[in-house]
Amino acid sequence: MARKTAAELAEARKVAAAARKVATAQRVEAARLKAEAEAEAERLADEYEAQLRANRAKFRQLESAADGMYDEIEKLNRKWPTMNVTQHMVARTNKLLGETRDLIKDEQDLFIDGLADIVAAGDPPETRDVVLILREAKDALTRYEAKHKGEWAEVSEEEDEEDEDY
Amino acid sequence: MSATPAHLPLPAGFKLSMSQAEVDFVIPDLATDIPVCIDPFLLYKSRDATLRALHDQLLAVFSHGFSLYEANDRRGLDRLIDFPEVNAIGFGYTQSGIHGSGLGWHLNQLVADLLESSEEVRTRGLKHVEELQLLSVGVGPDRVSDIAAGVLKTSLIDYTHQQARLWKIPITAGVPIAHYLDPADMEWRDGYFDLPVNPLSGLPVLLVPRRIVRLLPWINYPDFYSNEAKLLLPPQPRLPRFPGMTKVKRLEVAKTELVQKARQKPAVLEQYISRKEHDAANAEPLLPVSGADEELKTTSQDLRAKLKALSTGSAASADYQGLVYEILNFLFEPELTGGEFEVKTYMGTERRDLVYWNEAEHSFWKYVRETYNSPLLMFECKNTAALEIDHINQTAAYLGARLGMLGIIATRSVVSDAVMRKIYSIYNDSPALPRKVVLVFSDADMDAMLGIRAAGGSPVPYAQNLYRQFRSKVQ
Repeated sequence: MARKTAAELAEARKVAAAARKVATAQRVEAARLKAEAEAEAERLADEYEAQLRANRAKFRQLESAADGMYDEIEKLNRKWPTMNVTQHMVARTNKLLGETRDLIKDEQDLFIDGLADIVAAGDPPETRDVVLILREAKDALTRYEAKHKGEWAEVSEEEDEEDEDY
Repeated sequence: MSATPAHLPLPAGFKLSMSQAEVDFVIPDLATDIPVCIDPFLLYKSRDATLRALHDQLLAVFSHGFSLYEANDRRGLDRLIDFPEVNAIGFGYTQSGIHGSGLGWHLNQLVADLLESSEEVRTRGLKHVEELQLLSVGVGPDRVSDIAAGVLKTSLIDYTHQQARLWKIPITAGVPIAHYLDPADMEWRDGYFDLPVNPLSGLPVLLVPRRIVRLLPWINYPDFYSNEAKLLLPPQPRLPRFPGMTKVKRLEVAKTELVQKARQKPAVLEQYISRKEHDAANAEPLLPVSGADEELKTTSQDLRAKLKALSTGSAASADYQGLVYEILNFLFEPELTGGEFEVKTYMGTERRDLVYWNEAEHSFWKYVRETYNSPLLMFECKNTAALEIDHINQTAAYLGARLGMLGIIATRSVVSDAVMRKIYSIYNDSPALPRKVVLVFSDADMDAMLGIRAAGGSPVPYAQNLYRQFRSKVQ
């Protein structure tokens, strides 16, 4: 077997060094990409978690407001079902309906149409109608909670509480 | 010689086809007086500045009369406070015929007597002409109507002219009209005008808008007697009574006593007037309802048939406009009242088909007036087979500070989706609140509302529902 010349050996060493260099660069790049992907996944997870937290917080506010409004108007309804509600009640009910619609807009809820704003147009609705509308809103919120409470359970309450403390 | 009929409504007298439900004026009975009156309070509370100015004019006559009294110009007072009955309007509470007594010179005496006996009244003056019923024994609701008719006579002449042209009531040239007020120098004058003439009496006929007519004036003696006057009366027994004494008789007996006390204590009168002004929303025009149900059905059927038979296209556009006017009068008087055709803007550059005064005191039309910031409501009539986007743009361009931000298009068919999208975009693109709203009354809507009205219901909730649907969809 013919011995390699010194020049050939030098060339081979050069090629090997270049190959090592490429391999190192590839490893670095792969590591960078992996780190980026992990960061992106973490960001998405945080975002999702934040969204869940925000939805949960909004849900709790709406549930509380809907319960309160329903209770108060239901009291009126027991005695004066055909009494027209005031303009203020219409405005507050519409605020609740608007926020509820916003929360459950992508949920394919069959009864979301029932949550359209009340247009009094000179004749505010009777208490019995407003009670029904609020009941629909409460039920829509209940369905929403049933669908999402499993996800919410995976998200800690700590940050919410911190926010509340703050 | 044929006997004079007991009743001869104006349409029968002139062989015309119209019913009370579809015209803006009170249809007079050419044979006898109708028991209604012109109520000056309806001028006072109107959103129409012209009518309010007429109320001011009415008070100005008496204010001038009071100053003549203060200046000891008794002849001037006698000349000014002179209100013979305006037989041409055919209003009054007499049992038969169309000739009441009117006040004539008698009111001079009553007013002079009032001013002489009450320093308080001289100082306070009159806020409403109807107060005379409470301050003078001889003045009743018919007298108040005579006073108002006398002062408003020139306005009624103009109005009669306008309505006669609209409804094709024959007009006779140069009919003498006696005793109309020239407000510039507070003098009564006589003149000749082109007016319809009563075929029975040969006297002129003056038409009175429904919007200023009631069965009794809003401020009236029986109401005063039943409420604030109790403060003036002695403790029990308040009034002389005898078995079988009628309420009318009791009121008559009490009036002498009450008038004296009201003159001495105008504070009670003031309290009553303040309450009536406060409750002004309840003072609505009102006409007798005899035979109303049958008339509603007949008029409704007639209007529905006319609408169905009318062709689309520009050749019939004037007919359509006239028909829409009749239908709107039938559906919404007196809430929407005083409808006028083709109102030009002051620059003469724009024409709207129909403009109504919105005098509603409750429900949807009141909401429209208050929310869309105008006492006027515009209707555009489009006698086309299909409404186009240009029609919507044109109507939207008319909406603004003067006519308010809500207008209605009356048209023949249901609007297409593309036109509906344009209406929504006009709403959404409005730069400020309230946003511009264009509602559409199609033939189907008109027909449905006419059906509701024929059944004795109000078509306002139907219109309200159209608005609600629009607002819900545009959300």
